[in-house]
Amino acid sequence: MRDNDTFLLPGFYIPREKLKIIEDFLFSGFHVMLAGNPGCGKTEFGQVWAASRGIPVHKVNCGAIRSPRDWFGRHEFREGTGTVFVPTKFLEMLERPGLIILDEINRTTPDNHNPIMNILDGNREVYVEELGRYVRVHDGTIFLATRNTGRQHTGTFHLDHALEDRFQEVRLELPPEEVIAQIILAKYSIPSEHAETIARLTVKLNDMYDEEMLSKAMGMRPAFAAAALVQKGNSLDAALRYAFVNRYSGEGGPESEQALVMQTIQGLVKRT
Amino acid sequence: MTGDRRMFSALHRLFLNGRLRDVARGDDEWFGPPLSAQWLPFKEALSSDAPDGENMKRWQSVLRGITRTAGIIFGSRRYQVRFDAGYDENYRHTTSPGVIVVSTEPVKRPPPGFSFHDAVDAMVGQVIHEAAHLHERREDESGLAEDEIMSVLRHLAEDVIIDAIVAMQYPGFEGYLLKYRRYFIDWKLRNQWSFQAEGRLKQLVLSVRSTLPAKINRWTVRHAYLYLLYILSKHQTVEQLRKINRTELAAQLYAILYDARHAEHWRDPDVLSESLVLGAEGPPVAGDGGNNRGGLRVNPLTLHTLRQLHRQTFEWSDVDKFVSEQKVRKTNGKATAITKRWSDAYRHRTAPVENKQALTPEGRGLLRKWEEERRSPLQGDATYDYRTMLSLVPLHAQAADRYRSAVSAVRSQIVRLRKQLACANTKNGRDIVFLQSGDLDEEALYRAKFATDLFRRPNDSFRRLTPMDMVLLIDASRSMREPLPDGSVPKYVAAQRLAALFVEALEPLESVRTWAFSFSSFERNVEIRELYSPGIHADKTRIGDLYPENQTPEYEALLAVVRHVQNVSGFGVRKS
Repeated sequence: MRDNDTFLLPGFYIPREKLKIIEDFLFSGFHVMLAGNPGCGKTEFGQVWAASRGIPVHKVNCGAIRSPRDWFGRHEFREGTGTVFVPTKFLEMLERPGLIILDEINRTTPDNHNPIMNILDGNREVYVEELGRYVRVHDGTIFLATRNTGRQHTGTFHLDHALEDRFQEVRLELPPEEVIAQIILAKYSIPSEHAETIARLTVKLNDMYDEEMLSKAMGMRPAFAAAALVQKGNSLDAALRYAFVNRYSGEGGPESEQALVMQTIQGLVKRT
Repeated sequence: MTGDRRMFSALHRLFLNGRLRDVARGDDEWFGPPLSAQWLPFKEALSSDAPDGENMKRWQSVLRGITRTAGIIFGSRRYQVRFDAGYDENYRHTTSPGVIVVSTEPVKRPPPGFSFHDAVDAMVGQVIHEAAHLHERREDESGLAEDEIMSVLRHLAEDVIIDAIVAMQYPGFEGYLLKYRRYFIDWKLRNQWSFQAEGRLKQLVLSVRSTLPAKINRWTVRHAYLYLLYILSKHQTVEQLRKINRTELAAQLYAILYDARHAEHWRDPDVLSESLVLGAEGPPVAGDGGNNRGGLRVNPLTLHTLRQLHRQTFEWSDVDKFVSEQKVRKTNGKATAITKRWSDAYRHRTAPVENKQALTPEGRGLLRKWEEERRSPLQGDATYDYRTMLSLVPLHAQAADRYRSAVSAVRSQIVRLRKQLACANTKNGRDIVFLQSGDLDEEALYRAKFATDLFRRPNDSFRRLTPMDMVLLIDASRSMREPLPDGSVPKYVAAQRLAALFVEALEPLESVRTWAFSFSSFERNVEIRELYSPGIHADKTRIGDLYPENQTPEYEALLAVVRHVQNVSGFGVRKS
């Protein structure tokens, strides 16, 4: 497999068809919702994609939106001037062409979504009291949202159907084993067989999640953590144990998820 | 590591050097610390200080941990693992699809020097090995059932291939496989069942499967052993190994073992060792896993390599001639390769069913005796002694649907019972119960006019319940297939609905844990299947798997379930 076939975006793996679908949605006026297990690159995709296409990007941390007015700005007291309205970067970006990433959109309560409902539908405008005018969304502004769904994600909320309906959902998956190894080797200088083992374990644990043997899906973060530990001189076995095992529950002793992950590591790492 | 090096390493550890190192340096160094100690902390292992109930609970937990190892390799819920305490008497290769029988013998009767963790290692190795048989089985071997020797050889070929596959995919599990062989081949088969290297077949079995040196005095065995290694080294990927035709390989081994030209080639007993195969210098492997001879670069173990390393071993045979020879026949202008199999010279002996002259009467007798030993447990004895087996059956694909159907059939009763029992969760209990309007008929309403206390009657039964375990034991014998007296549904479907009602209605009650088991018997075994338990493996859909078969042993089942629940459930109620 040639590198430029594997990595259509610099350092980021996404199947060719999926990338084309996302781009076609975005450039046809549809908003895209990226779903997928933690660590599969939902947020990173938006940033890498915008950078590769030369598009200005702004990421909104939706979990930090605590009231509906937080989308647009805040009031600050300034000496000599008194209380002034300070608009958010989000508000500024609405009127400029670029990509707005609504990161973890379901981590704010549904009532906080109300101000952006009109922004995301055909009206593409919102009245901002503090400015005393309508803010129209620029024709070149595109929206990409990300979310984690499932019971295991505490602090998330169900999206209102009307909001959900405004997005086209695309699911990102964990890259294939050999691609994960390539990504690890591009970031960390470790022996290739170690990178292959880390990649294999990552995919294996994710498969075991799909088979309901484990309760948590596997993303890329533990793989990077293990690679970082190996790069720092730790043994592969120790790196895998510290990076992967503690993510799972130890309840149940020999039949716990931690024990299962330990067994899996044991199987993949050859004894010396 | 390249595929070649990986392959070499697997052969190196599984079939060659290990045995010599074993002798030279002692068991401990070769086997190292028990593998299971990594995931089975000592405090989780059985201890003589803990009460029996606690030990039983831990033991169940350990068994589940052992079972899941095969799931790592081959996926979950594909196999049913039955733990059989009576390996000596009951063990057999089950023909039921998807069933693995695993013996708890290593824990019950460990050999000298075996720790609890060593015994668990042996059991894990057996689970992996037997699961690999189910997973990697490619050909129908029913045609060989009549031929004992071919059947053994085929099984041997499969054993070797699947061990190589597992070791290639999961190199860290090699140790489990070796520990399994150490116990079942060297301790049980050789030591206790007196399976000694007497005939060619036994010599070959031991030379390949034993983890201790096997004394070999037949050239044909050496040749067959080398041929097996050659075949393994020629197939260096998992896919290639899977494509090996095991029946054909068994036929080739048969041809080599019983060829008339070499049958009488005896020599003094010798230890089949690496020096035979690789010469006095040993293999060119360095590092901790090797023997520190030679450089870092290693070559795959091919016949060519073997011949270069120790030419004398191969001088007596015409191996290379058969391997390298490839003639071309021209028919109608088309060139067709005449493929000469390695064992073509011996193939006049490869139809062994009616032609066993090559086997000495002594060998045949020994084989028969061994076969009888292997099969005798099935014949049973005069006493009628049940053994209970508690098993957790993998879910059938339609179990969830069946369970949903059962729930929907009793949904109204579930809702009603839940409402009536809801007050049991309240801290202080309720003295007053307001009857649901749907529960009243006209007569009751009529009386209510004159007895207003009906609506405010005290009901002590709804006070907070004492924590308790409630067990539903369902007959799953064949008679449950009969329809109910009203002819509406079979009895087992009604039982399924009752189980659903039982589990669902009581689920919200914090103080009540529910258990459901089914029981039936087959031959001398009472099989108790766990349909639902309140632990971390609580899975109600398993109730949908209830299916009747075999006979009805009420007493034994009841006794076993009572013991199981007493052992597994501790004080206090903790529902997952």
